[in-house]
Amino acid sequence: MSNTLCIAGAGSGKTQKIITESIAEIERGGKVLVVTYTTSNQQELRRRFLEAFGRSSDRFVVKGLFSFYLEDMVRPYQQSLFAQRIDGIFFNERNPHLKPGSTYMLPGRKEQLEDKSYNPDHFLTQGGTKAHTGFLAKLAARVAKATKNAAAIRLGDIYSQVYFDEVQDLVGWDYEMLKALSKVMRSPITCVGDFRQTVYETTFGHKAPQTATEKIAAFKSMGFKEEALVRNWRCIQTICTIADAVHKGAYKATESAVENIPPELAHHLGAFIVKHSDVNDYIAAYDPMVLRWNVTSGAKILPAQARCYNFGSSKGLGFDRVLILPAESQMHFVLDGVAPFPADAETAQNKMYVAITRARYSLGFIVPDKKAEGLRFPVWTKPLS
Amino acid sequence: MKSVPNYRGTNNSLLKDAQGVQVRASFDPDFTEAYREYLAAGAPISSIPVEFYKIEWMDFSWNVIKPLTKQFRALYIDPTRIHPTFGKNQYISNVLNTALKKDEEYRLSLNYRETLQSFNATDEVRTVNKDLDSDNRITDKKLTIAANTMPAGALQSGLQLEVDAVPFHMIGKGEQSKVQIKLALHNKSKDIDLVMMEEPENHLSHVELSRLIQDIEDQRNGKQLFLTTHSSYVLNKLSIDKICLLHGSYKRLHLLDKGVVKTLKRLPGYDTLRVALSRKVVLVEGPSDELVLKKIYQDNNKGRLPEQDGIDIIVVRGVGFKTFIEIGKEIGTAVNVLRDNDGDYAKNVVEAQKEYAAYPNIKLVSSTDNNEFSLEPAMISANATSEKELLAFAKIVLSSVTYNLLVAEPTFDDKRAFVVDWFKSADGDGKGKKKVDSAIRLFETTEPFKYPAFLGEVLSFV
Repeated sequence: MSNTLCIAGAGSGKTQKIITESIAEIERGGKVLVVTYTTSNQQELRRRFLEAFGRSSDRFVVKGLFSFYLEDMVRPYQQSLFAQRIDGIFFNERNPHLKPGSTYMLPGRKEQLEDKSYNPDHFLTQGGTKAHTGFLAKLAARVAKATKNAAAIRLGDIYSQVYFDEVQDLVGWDYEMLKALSKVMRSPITCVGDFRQTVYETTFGHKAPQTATEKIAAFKSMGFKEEALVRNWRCIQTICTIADAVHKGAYKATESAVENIPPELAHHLGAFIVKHSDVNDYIAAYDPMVLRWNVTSGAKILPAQARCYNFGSSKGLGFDRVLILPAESQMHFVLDGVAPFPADAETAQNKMYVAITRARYSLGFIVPDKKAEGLRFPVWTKPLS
Repeated sequence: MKSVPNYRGTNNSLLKDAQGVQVRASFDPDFTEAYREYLAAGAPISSIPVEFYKIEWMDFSWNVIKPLTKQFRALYIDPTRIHPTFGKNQYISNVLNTALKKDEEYRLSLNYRETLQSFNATDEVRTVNKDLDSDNRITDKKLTIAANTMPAGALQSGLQLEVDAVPFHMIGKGEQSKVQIKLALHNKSKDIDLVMMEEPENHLSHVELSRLIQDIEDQRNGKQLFLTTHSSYVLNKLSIDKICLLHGSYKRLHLLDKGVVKTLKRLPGYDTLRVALSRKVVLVEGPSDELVLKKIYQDNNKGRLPEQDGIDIIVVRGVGFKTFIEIGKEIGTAVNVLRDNDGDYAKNVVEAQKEYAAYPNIKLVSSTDNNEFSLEPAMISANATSEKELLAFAKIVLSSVTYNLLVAEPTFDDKRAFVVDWFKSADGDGKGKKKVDSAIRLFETTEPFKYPAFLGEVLSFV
């Protein structure tokens, strides 16, 4: 069976797909591993499985990416590099080898020692008991190389199907792991994700692939069969079309699968421009979820009672009505919609896509009053009452 | 053996990519501070401070094994721990677990409770309860006596095992351990993967033991068996190459010559563990060699016997030197071998020495003189520098009847030839017994005698 890269647009039911296929595999007598990055998605997967299957099963295993690396890719064969048991992980917010607040590397942190052996201080905390999360994927790659991919063979013996969910968040060294697995593991791998939603990074450094284009090419060269889930079960067609415009036809067009609109929401559908001066009224009228870049965004514009989410943490969620406060780097998309996002603004671009696809029925963009007229979306005006 | 691929990895002492489990008891670093304070208080440490230790179960992938998700079941059998009260519930529940299928156990448990319920409903119980606190002087509520039907553990605490209608803990220890071991091996519910057994040889006669061991061997069906033993018989029979020796250090015998392993499985009655468990071993051909060597050792060591100084003299009997030497080779025991040259030193001894040249712990010793073909002629020639000396020696080792025959020989040469000839054995003429008789006389004498230098060499270890 071949490996699959499943590009699952927002709201396309990727979790549903994983759960349904996993249950089928379990019923065939198999065992499934789902690896995913965020803890919220791990919980969501477990919850949905329980809901669909009726009980928990030790044949459905969900692991975080770092636990997966440590428990399955590194520890079983760590003897090839380090003799002392690696007890756990050390979460790196920043590169642990740089002097704080600078780009100078601390001494003694190079990957290899004088004698060409691997340096524990490169991969592990002092004392060698915890693995730096930022170098875990690289460590896994080194272990794989030293042991002829023994860990991948072991994994194939344990699981009959492996999923990597939120695969868009994998970069650089993570792809070495995927390469090793796809080469020797007997069981099929399915990678599910949406590169339009990449807003986290699992490692720092500059190892390719980093951009969405590079990543898709990497999957192709590993022989993954590409498959797209283009039906969107969350957003109405108008919103799907606007979301597709963020990446300007780089992906297959999305079809809305939403058929029934709740009658109590039907009076306000589609996309609107909301002027700064109307924000309070708009929020009072529709109580939308406000999505913004970070907690400091829009301090002067948003009323205190507004319900807010940051773009990044809204991933995976859906709201009936959304009001987006675009950041400077995203405003051009709202204003003209013609000029593409510059190549170095992938994060801004993806966050815009994520924000738009949170909305089920209505979408507002907050725009300064003086720029509000003559845009491609109608300006919202307070209904006369 | 069942396959648990998650338990696979190279985190084991052999660094082998295999499925397995490790149990480690080690100092718990969480207690470093507490232990330091304990030491600082000047408390004496005369035993291992296990209170500060932790026990970790891990698989070979070095992931922690949690009790709930453990993918194997082990049964521990220690016949000496069965006690009428202590651990009885645990024991019965083990038996129930191993002897019954799950649904059988549930049915039994339900039925047991129902029976107790009906006991509670009998007239006798009702009558007792009616008068128990009829005027409510003890409590305002209703006080009754009832059989305990609480589900948890009711079956375990209420049942016992009987053999020929005798309660299990009252039957012989040997029978207890046999029943327990065989229940574990048969294991109806098929959920036991490991059996751990403590010294199955205890409380059993030799015949019983050999039957039990045969059963263990025939019926273990892929279950992994860990057993401790001090019995060479158990060891040889279950394959001596499977042993892990805990003797100062940890040592395995898995590379032992396959022929030797097979010989010992067929002939398990040899004391192979003596080679395994001593640091210095002397191998000899017969009991007279043993006695003479002991006597010589005593004379040179202020009356101490070799075994008091950790030197074990083993009579190899039927299986020959090779079996014992091979074991010594693997373990590294210092083995000195006293062998007869059988009249051809070059052929019988020098050739054999070459075979063990690479093993400094194996030393083959013999007389280099082809006339001293065995112990007796060598002893005679050491004590025959004069006729007087020969007669003194003969007086120690010969019976008075034989001694008188000797004295009747005319010349010194005739006399010497007579003694040598007297010890020469032919098939079935009973000379073997005479050799042992002489050796016992020699062992018990207080008279001085001489001995050839190579006998001293056999007793010396580097």
